[in-house]
Amino acid sequence: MHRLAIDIGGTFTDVALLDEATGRLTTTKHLTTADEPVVGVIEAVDSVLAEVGVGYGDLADVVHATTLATNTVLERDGDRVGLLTTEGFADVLTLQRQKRYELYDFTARLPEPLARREDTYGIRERMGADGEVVSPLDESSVVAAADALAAAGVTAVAVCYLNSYLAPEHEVRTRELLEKHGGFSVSCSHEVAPVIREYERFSTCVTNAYVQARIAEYLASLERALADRGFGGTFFIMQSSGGLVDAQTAGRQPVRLIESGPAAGVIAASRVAAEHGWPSVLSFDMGGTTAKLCLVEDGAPTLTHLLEVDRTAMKPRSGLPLMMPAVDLVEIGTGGGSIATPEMGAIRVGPTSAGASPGPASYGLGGTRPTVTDSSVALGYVTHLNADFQLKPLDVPAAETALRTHLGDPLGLDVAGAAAGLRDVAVSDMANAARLVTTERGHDPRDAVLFALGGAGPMHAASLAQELGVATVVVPPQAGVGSAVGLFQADVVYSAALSRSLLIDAGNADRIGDVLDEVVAGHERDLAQRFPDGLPPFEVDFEADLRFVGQGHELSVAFERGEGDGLVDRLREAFLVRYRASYPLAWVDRPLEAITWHVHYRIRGREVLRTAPQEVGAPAPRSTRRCLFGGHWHEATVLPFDAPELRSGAIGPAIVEQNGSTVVVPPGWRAAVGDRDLLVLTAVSAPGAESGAVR
Amino acid sequence: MIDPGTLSVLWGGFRDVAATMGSALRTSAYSIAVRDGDDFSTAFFDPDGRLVAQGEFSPGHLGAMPFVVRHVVALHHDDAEEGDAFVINDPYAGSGHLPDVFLVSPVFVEGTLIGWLANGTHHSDMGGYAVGSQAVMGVSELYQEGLVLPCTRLYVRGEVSRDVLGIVLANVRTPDLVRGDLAAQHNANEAGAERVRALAARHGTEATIAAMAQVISGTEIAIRERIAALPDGVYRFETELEDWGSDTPPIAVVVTATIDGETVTVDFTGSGASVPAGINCALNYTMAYTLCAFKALVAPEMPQNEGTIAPLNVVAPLGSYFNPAPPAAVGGRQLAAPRIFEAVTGALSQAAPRGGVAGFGDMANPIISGRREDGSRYVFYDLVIGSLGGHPEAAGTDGLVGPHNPSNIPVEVQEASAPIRVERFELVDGTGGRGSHDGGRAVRRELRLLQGENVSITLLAERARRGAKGLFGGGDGSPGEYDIVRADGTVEPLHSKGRAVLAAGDLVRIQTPGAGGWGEVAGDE
Repeated sequence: MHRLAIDIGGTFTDVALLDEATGRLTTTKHLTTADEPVVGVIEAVDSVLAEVGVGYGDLADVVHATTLATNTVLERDGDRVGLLTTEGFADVLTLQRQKRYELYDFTARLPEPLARREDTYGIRERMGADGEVVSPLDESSVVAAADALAAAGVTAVAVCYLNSYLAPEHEVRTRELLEKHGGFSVSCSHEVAPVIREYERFSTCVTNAYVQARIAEYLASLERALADRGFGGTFFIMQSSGGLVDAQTAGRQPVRLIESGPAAGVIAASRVAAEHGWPSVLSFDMGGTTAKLCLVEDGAPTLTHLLEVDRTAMKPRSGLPLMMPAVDLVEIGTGGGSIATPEMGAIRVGPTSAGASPGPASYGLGGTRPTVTDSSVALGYVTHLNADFQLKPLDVPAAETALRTHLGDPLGLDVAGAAAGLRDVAVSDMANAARLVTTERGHDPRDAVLFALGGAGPMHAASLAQELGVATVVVPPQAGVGSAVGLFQADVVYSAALSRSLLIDAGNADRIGDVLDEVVAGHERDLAQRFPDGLPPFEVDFEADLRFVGQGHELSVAFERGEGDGLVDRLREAFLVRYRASYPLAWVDRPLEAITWHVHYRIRGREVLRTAPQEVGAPAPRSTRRCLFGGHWHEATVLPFDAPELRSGAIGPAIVEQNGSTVVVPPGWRAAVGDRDLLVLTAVSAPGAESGAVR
Repeated sequence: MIDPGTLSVLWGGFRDVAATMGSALRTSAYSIAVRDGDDFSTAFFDPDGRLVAQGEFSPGHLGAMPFVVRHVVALHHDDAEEGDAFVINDPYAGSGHLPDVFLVSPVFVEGTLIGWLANGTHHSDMGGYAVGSQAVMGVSELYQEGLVLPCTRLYVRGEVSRDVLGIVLANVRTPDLVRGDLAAQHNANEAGAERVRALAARHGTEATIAAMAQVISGTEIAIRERIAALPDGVYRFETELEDWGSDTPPIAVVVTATIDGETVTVDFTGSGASVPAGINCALNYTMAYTLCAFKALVAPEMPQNEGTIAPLNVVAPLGSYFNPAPPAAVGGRQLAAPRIFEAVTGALSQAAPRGGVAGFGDMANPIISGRREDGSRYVFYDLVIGSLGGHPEAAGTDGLVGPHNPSNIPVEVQEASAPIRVERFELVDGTGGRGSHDGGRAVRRELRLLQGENVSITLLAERARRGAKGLFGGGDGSPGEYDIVRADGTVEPLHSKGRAVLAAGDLVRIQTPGAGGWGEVAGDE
């Protein structure tokens, strides 16, 4: 049988076909057709299937990652959403958390809420902080709101009541009333994000309602298009957490697809980490406008339970918050197209991007400002642009002119100095972002392996590693379509969560057991609807969000339920290990409490992706390129990915060219293709000894 | 000179030091004000105590921190040792009131002093007359307001001084929260120190220190250019704090700003005298918000470091409201921040092209303290944040905070931690000042006490008599409204700076002032 992976990004749709018997992987890259995404997908799939000579009926499953949910929010073309909320709190979405993300900007705006104020209805009802009913639900006001929404033609409704994370009864009853009324697609906050903090929970629920119709329509039409062509297998979707769910489940909680695309790339890194037993891998995915970093710990991506969408200039707290499990990515505005400007005698890179149009100056499409890509061109690392399946020569003089005019002259640097400085700043900004997901979480980046993906990732990976003190960089054979390949390896995961504050002490062992029973029972009820013929053999694991009593921020700790009394001690022990890693001198002689409990039902994906080994190519005539490293020009060897030299190991400076990406091997680094065709770069001299700056 | 590439890399690293400290502090803090309200700040200083980079937190802490660190460095430049950390909350050397506690630590690399780290955190209580240590009425001297810590070693070569900690904890109503937040402050400086040492290891101690100087001088040159581009002149603006207790007169706020070439002088002469209430504005705090306003108007997007401060002179006569002499009481001085901001921007906007921001819908800060049924004490600290005034580009954003920059505290978090129910949290129509760009609307929050008797509330608010001022012809916003609906239905006004005693069933109603409008409404004469 064959498996098919489809990864739709903003610019490209990547498709990969895996022949499970031979391990042969066939990939293609097509331009995304934003208006009618299904059309582009089917075209790309057709081309791959035709190339290999298999039909839709030969596919065991299709696994899919999509940026459609994110784009729907960014472009604000989702559904008009009606919001039913507790009376007296109709402005929660407008008020948000009321903080300026730019300290000195008093003209700042908050992000536009996804439900309009005039479509918001205050409902008389109230649950207390102890879960008791304070005011019963006024059902007539729900019906009146439903009538008004129906009259206005609103079909997507979000139900968001205070304290519903603890006491969902009123939201449940409101759903019943709306369903009885008919014609609504209902999202309830206690289902979408059953966690404390009203603004963040409401925002998540409203976003879910906002994207639901778009996603449902899209998934149904893609599923139909596949079925029409003979596909009879399972259709899986990647969620923000890096787990797959079936399309029907995905359609019910579409907000969970917000980080679908980036998550797939992190899964690829996770599997390589698991297979090689690397305890700590830093996934580094650098494209045209941003760089994304995520720490993979013991073969699993670190997760967060709060992320933001639609931020302004990538600034923290400028976007709409979403509470759901998601790969803990940090994303910064440093990509190949990021523009550099002089500022107070220093260099700033990004977040403004030249994008695909006009693009970097060296693309020759009208761009005149110096970008990260232009610095790589001027430094000699890259000579051709790989786009639309053709190699186009890059315009070196245009890159140099841009660097000289807009950076070198204002700062008193020559072209080489400007290019090297630009690159240093871009790398340093990415290193600071990497520290957010490592050092700040108590991990030493120097223990990690850097896993590079994306069009610009392999070009900057060794420099980033050097800045972080990382000694090993790994570039997968299909770095350009790495996310699609990651899809084949992901677990299928059905998750549920429940907020219940409980003291972690021996006296509470029974209550903890009851809460775990409650979350499991609720989850199994949901799953039973999806799997009416009985649940598949899931692995079950748990996670608790813990903190010292009185703190406001939790750390998530995975645990096994086990038998008997040991659970309380295991939870405390596991928490302390994580807490001490972040705060070695911290005051820890404090009672511990759990806030939210998570359960994950999992079917393991493939640890090892069996792909056919790449053939070693014929020795090619020696080719070199003049490249600047550490302020000196070197003749760098240029090697294709299948060069025999890479089997025994080549010493930098070298440039390894792979279909779709360029790997820069600086002096002091060794490159070798090893196990599973991974290109491994190893620092042979002390990392950190080399600085890219021109002195 | 360091080359521009290395300078940029180190500059990014210095900012990262302050950001790293901020996330360490937020995630390990205990008090709700810090963990959910962001009422803290972090910064990094050079070996001489000059500001190099700061985290994006509260302007009141940030603007005062250079003076806090200058004070600590003057005392301990030569005897500070690795692992030491100095605690200080003396309002006259700190940021103007006792709850703001600073922790300042030197950083060493192989025995060489390479910089200082500082963070300031609003603590839940520092003892004294009223819970929260920021009552206005009923106090007239600093000694009534709580525990004063002059610059004191809290950590000695890495070990916490149990003696000092013991004194602090014996004087506060919330020893667990204070202890937890002090530990979080120490975590922050430790996290920052590690980043600083890594930068020095990577780029060399000498280059790292040289880059600090270059950061400061580069910024100073840029900001002086900005000032030079403004028309020279003397610009004046007047406003007032409406009172400092029941039946008290206003405190005049008079600012004369002089732009002279590359420097700006902001003179508060002509403003009111200091008053016998907990509301006086120590000079450090006056300077902090003058700097904030100056920067917002002249160079909002530029970094803030010692170079930003250098061209700005702040003058306030000793003994006046804006430079009170010790031991004047200061607890509620944050009420002055929006007035300072409005007066300084009001004056400078006559010269600067951006044209300022109309009056703020001031934040109200109620503190309620009582005991739960199990006898344990709680301190309910809330921030009812108003809206922004109109400005030349658009209407004032509804609900966006004024010059202080905390966030609100989620209703569900508040309710889970104290026997208080929030019954309303919404915008009030028709409250913003009209203008070509309207002011933002008032925010209303109502708090119901669920249990107990003899529960105290201290309010810190402004503009109950007159709403926020419009600017350039815009209308004023509506005044703030503060009252208590007793369980029996009687309504009692609550003075904006008053205290009262609550019992179960009482409802505290707080409505911030509406913000001011900007510019004349088209068609108005």
